[in-house]
Amino acid sequence: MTLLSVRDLRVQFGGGAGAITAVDSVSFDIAEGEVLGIVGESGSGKSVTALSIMGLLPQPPARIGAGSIWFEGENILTYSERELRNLRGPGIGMIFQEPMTSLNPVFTIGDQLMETIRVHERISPRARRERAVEMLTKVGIAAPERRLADYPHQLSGGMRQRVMIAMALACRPKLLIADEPTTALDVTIQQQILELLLDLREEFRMAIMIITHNMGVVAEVADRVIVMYAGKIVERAGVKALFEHPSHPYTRGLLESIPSLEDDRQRLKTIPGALPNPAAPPPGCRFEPRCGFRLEACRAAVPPLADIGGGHDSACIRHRELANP
Amino acid sequence: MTPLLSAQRLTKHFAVRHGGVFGRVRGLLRAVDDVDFEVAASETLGLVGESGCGKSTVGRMLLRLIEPTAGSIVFEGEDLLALQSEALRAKRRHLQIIFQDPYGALNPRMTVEDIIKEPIEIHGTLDGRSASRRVAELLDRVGLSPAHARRYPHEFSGGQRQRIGIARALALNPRFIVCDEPVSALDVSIQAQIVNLLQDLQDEMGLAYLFIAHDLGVVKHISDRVAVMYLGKIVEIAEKRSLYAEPLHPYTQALIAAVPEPKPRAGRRRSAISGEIPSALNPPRGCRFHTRCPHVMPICRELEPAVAEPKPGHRVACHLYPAAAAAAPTAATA
Repeated sequence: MTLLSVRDLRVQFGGGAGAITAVDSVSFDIAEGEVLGIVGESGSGKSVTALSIMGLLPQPPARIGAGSIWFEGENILTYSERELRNLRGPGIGMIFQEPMTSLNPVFTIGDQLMETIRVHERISPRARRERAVEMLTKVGIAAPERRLADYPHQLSGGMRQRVMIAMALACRPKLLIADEPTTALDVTIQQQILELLLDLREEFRMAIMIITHNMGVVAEVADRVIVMYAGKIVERAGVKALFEHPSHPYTRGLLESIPSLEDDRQRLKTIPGALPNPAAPPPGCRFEPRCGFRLEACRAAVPPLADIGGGHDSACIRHRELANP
Repeated sequence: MTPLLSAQRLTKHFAVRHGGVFGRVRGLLRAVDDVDFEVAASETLGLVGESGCGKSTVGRMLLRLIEPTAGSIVFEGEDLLALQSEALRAKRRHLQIIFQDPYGALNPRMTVEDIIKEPIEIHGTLDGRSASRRVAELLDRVGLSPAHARRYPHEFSGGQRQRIGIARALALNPRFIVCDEPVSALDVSIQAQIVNLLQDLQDEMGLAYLFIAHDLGVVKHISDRVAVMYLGKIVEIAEKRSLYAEPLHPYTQALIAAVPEPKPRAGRRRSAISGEIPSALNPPRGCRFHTRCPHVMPICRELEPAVAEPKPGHRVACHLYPAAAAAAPTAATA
C-alpha cells in the first residue's frame, strides 16, 4: 500500500530573474513499512523535499510552484496549519541532522518529550510520564527516569539523537523522515542509531524516508533509493540494482569517488567541476557539464526519468551503456 | 632511517576550572596522554579516532598552536619544545596546517592573494613582485586560476576554499603538513578531487603528512601508516595494509566494522560495540576502552596495557597482546 505520494513537486526560492528552483518536478512514492533512501550532495534538493512534506518550508522565501503531496489519500499541500499540526506526530515524524539545535536548550528532555505527547494525545500527566519513560527505554537510553530531568547539554550527541528519535516516535508516526540522522555522529554511534531505526521500523511497522549523502548508510538501511542532483531525480531503483547497475553517470561517479576500505592507493575517480549555479542551470541535462558520457543531445532537452526495466528509472539517455558496461 | 618528525610521550592536560578562567582548578581533562609516533619524510601517517579522542590536539601540538603539557617533538633533529620564538618561527616555516572548515579558516576580509601571501610576508622570503608571482604559481598548482587572486573567500565553493587553504600551506615550501580533517566538510565528489590533489602535491614535493580524519575509508586511501586513538591514547599503530587487514585492538576492529560499506548485503549487521566514549575528565581506570570492550578481562580494569609489538612495525596497547617481559615494568609504572 502506498503511504506517501509526491507528484511533480516544484519548489522555488525568491522571485523574478534570480529565482532558484530547488526542487524540480520530483515524483516518488513510499509504501507502508518501506525504507526509502534519498541521496545527493549539498544543493541537490533532498532536504527541501523533506521540509515540503512536513509543511515546514518557510514560505516566503520558498514557494511551492506546482505539484501535490498525498498522504493516505489526501493532498496535504491543501492542509491548514491546524490540520498539518495534527498530521505531524501521529502521521509523519521527523528527525534532523543536528540534535543539539533541534532540542530546546532551556527545557528538560522530559518536558519536551511529554509536551509532544500532550499536544497529540489526551492522556493523564502520569500516563504521559510513563509513555516518555517507555520511549526513552525503547531508544536505548539507560536510567530513563533520571534522564527525564536532564537538559540537552548534559547529553552526548548520540544520546541527543536518541532523544530526538524518541520524540518523533512518541506519537507512533506511520512515516519517519530522517534528514541526515547520523551525519554529526561518530561511526560507532552511527551504527547504533541505524540499527535502532531498523529495529523500530520492525516494531512499529513504520516507513522511513532517510536522507543522506553517505552511500554506505543507504546501502545499509534502504530498500529503495532515489538519487537527486541539482533539484531533480536522476535515478531511482531498488538498493541492490542501484549499487550493482548504476544507470546514471552521476550515480556512477558518486560510487566511484568513495574511497572504499577495500581499494588501495590509486588515484580516486572524481567528478570534475562543481554543482551548476542554481539560478542559471544548464539548458538540458543538469549534469551534462560534468558528465563523461555527454552527447550533443544532452544539451538540447532535459532527459525524462524513464523506466529502464524492473522498476529501475534513469534520467540518462545513455542508460543502456551504463547499466551493462 | 631517521624520521622527519618524532613525538615522544606527548601529553596535553587541560585544566577545567570552576566559573571561568580565574576559578579553582576542578579537574584535568586528559586530552592527549603519553603519545608516541614518528613520521618519515614523504610519508603519510593517518590519525583516526572518534570525536574527543585527542587527534586534533595532537596535530595542533606539533605546530605548538597548543602548548604540550609534557613530552618532546623532534623535527629535523631539533626539539621544537626547546626553541625560543625566533628559532621556532624559522622552524615553523617547514611545518604547516590545513584546517577542516574552509569557511572558518580564511579571513573573509582578505583577498585570496593576501591570504596566500601572508605567510610569505611574515617570513620575508620574497619581495613584493616575486610574492605576487608566487601566489599565481600556487593558485595554478592547486587547480585555481591566477585570476582568482583578487577575489574574496565568500565567492568560492567549499572545495575551492579548501584549495586556497592548501595554497597558503604550500606558500613557504613546507616539508610537513598537518591535515586536520581536510575533506570532512566536503561533498563526496569534491572530496575525491582534494584527496587526489594532496597526493599529487606529496609526490611532487616530497611532503610528509599527518592526516587526521574520522573517515576510515579516506585515511586508508591516503595513508602509508595509520595510528588509532581512543580517549587520548594511541591504541594501535601499523602499516596501513596490516592495520586494515588484521586489526589487533578490539577498538580498531569495532571501528572498521562500523563503517557502512557502499554495498548492499542480505541480512542485518550488528554493532560490534555498545555504549559511548567515556569522559576524558575521568577516564576509566586500567585500559580506557574496557567499558566498551567485548573482550574485557579482569586485568583490563586494573592495569593500563603496555605497548606490544606482535608483528614488526605493528604496535598495539591491549592486554590480549602481552608486551615483552622486559618492556612491561617501565610501561606499567608510566
